[in-house]
Amino acid sequence: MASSLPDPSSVPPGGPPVIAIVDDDPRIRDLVEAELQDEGYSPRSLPSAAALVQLVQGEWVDLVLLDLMMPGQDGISCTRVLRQLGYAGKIVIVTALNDLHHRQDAQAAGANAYILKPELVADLAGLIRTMLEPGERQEPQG
Amino acid sequence: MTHPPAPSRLRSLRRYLFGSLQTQIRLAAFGVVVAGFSVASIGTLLINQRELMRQHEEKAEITDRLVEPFLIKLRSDSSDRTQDYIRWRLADFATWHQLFWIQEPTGALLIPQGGRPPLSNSVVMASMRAHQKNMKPLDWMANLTAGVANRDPDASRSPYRVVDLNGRRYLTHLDMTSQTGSKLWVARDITNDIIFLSDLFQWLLTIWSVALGLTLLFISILTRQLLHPLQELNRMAEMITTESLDHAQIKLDQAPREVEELALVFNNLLERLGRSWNQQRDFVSAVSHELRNPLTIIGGYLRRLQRRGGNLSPEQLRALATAEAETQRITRLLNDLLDLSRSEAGRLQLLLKPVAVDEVLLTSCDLVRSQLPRRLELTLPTGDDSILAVTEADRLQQVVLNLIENADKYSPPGTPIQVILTTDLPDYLRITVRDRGIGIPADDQATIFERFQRGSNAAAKGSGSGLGLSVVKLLVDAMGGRISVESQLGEGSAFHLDLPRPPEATATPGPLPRRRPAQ
Repeated sequence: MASSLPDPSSVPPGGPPVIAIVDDDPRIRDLVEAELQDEGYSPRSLPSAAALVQLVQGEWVDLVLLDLMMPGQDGISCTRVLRQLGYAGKIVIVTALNDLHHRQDAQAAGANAYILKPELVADLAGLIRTMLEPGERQEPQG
Repeated sequence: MTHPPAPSRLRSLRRYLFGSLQTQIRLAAFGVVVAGFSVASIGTLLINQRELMRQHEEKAEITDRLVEPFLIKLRSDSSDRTQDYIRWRLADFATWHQLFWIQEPTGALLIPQGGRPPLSNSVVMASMRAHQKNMKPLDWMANLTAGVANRDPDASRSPYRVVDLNGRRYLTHLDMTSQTGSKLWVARDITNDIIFLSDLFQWLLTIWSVALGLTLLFISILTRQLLHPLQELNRMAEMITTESLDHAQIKLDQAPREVEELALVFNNLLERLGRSWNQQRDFVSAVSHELRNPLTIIGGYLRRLQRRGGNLSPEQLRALATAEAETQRITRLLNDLLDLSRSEAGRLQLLLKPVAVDEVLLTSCDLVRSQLPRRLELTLPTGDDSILAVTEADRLQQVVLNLIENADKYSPPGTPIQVILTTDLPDYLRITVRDRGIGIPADDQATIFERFQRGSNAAAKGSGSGLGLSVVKLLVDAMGGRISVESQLGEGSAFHLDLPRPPEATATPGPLPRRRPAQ
């Protein structure tokens, strides 16, 4: 199954990194999408986990900003599904809830970072640069 | 501070000895059994003795009636022949166990002629001596016998005497004083009766001991059975944690109805507790979601406007910056409140791991520097290596920002705030936040970290919830750190935050979460 997913080599070199923002709240999506566009990335705005799973099967995505609490599939189980599918890009769980269990669950599911929503918009550019840095470790940041 | 009076040693001893329900039941059972069997034993003894005396007196009474005519005859005719006849008759009345003799008004004794052994003249002599000397009975059994005979426990006032002669016991008393003035005395061999009573007593003692032992055994088993469900209840209740609260139920096998009812009440309580626990969790989650989302959007657009709004006047930009700073402040306050709420519910858990404290301090200072009406000086130790402490980066930032905000609130404009990281302490890193503010009165320094407590001189500096430092304290506690304050009234305050360093083995800088300083 893993081989069926697009990988970074499938993207023409020189193009802007593709970043998906997945949130059921369209206002958050709009804000983050606008910021991403301003920063020169290629944003994909998605309302649900299902849409994301569909997207990564058709296109290489460098980084996913994934809301934790969504109707339907939540961010952590979506992360698990993506990793099972063999998705190799970065996943950042974005949440309103600072909870140790969720943090640990996110790490166990294969997320690279766990970040609170206000912090996401406070330093979105910094976060993305950190995550897309070559050699960035597969570990959520504190 | 006043201390409650220490419990007295006697009281704690009593509590130690009788505090257990099991001991109390055992003691009560022991008491009841001892009292019951004592009463039963003494009662049996007394009834037997009374019966003995009744028989004794009945026989004496028959003899009285038979002897009476001789006494009358003796008054009118005290010739030797009559006396011999009476002696002969007295011997006739005597049995193996009973002996009668007459004391004439002159004091002379008429003793049965040819008395049958073992009731002999020596018994008569010993009896008369005992009565003359008002001699006391010989032992407690005889004492009791004589006392019962007279219905008077004081045997020395009894008309009965017990004499001991050649290993046998005789109960003797004045049986009758005739109208003629002659007295009829009687002595009765009660050796066998006393042996019977002694035997009876020994048997009672044996039965009593066995019954006591059996009762105690039975009571022990009963109390164990009775208390076992309670202990089980205790054990199960101890195993309940906040994690297992949702499905925690106490189940007891074959418990008495009372304990079952207790378990039922307990289960109801657990259920309600679990519900309120979940409600609390839902509340934290709902508040987080409902407030953080709008704050994110407001803060995000304010930030965006400042950066992208090219045709804004400096005044408009300043207004946007203030609005953004306030949004961040509300966000931090929300974090404080949620942590406080979690902590109250026992659900504040931190993900502790080695964190580069110098970077957290850089980020924190960058975040608030532009919002402060004063200089914020950050002093870090020199050197290239990260300075590590075991903590959680977000929460550490929350603590540091709270301390800076607190220092800012109580300092006159223009005075600086210093944030200093030192590595002098063994095992701990020290972050000091120092201000030149109003200071904290010495009396208040102990309570400054308690909820809703502010220095008594703080009211003059405007509003404040009194929550900030209590959140600092509970977060630092959760990190395994220490917080202390040094303050001089009017000179300023220094808050020292000590964080544990990672153990040496893991201190080598490995893969560490790093956050870039905010732009």
